[in-house]
Amino acid sequence: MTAKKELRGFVDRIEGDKAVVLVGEHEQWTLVVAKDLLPEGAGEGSVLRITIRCDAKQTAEAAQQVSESIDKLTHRGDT
Amino acid sequence: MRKILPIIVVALLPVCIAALVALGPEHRGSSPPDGRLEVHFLDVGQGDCILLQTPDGRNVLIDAGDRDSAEDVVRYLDRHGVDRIDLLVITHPHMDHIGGLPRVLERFGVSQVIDAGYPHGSQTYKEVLSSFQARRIDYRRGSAYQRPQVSKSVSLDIIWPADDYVPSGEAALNNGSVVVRATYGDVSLLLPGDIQSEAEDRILAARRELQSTILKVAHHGSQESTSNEFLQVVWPQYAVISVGAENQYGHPGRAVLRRLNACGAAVYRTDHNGNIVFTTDGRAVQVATER
Repeated sequence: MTAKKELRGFVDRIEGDKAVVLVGEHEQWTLVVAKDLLPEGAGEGSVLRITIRCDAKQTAEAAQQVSESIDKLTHRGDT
Repeated sequence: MRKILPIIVVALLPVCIAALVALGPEHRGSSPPDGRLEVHFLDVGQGDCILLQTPDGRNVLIDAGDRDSAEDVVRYLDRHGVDRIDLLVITHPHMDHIGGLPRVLERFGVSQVIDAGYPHGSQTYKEVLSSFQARRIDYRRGSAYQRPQVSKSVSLDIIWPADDYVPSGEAALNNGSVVVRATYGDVSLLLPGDIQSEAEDRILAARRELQSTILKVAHHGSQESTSNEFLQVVWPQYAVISVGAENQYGHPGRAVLRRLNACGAAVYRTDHNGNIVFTTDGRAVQVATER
């Protein structure tokens, strides 16, 4: 399993302040995102490369923060 | 054998009658009864799909909804006796108008295609164009003043885009939609795809005959479309908004609904009414809704 994956995105249309992006080689998913999220120069008809990358450091930090919160909640009566 | 045959015929007769009764009135071939034109606005959620069944048995399909509704579209066409699509109009190649086409093309033969013909690089559009090529379907770009000859009784006029129109900007494809006006006797129908105010202004400037009994409200009732000036000229008795329930684009816009009410049009919406069918003999119009 690779640390990152790339997908084809296609900006099918702009609907008001939203961009409708068809995702996958067969356009099997549809993402509706704020138009402002599109990179500069992209618009209706643009082909995008969408990269999905796992951030191991932030994953561990997020889990640690939640763990600390649970610890605090479960030991509130200890002191 | 000669003695057996009448027995078989007599035995099968009730089965045949029962089968005909079970098929019901919808299985009557492509031709609406009594020389009427039927205009079906299919409930395809957020998208457009319109079927015209002419008195002389021709089927005209305008767009095919989004991919999610493809099976519903095919079932609906089957139920209404469509065996072939005589003319397919692709108003423009956005997914909510062409997503159902690959499945429709798998199921039905198509005689002629009129398409906006803009270089939109989605995989779905490429697949659709390849299918036309592989099946050698008569394909042409829609352009104002064309009059496709499909039916002897229902005339079709292409109102837009103009030959010299070059779509640009954020609403390029919407504004480049193929706009069709159909006329049967005294009854007319305007199908403007997803055009917005820029194209509406250009169409008004061309001073074509636009007044129509039934208006398919452009771009799912978006507030960038259906200007007051446009409505004043079209002045429809009936307006149909093809729109998905609780869609995330805010369609239809409140201002558009106000403008439609102000001009006195009876407004029907696929999200409220489901499939909407207009039937006309060229003078009177009847409307039937699914809910």
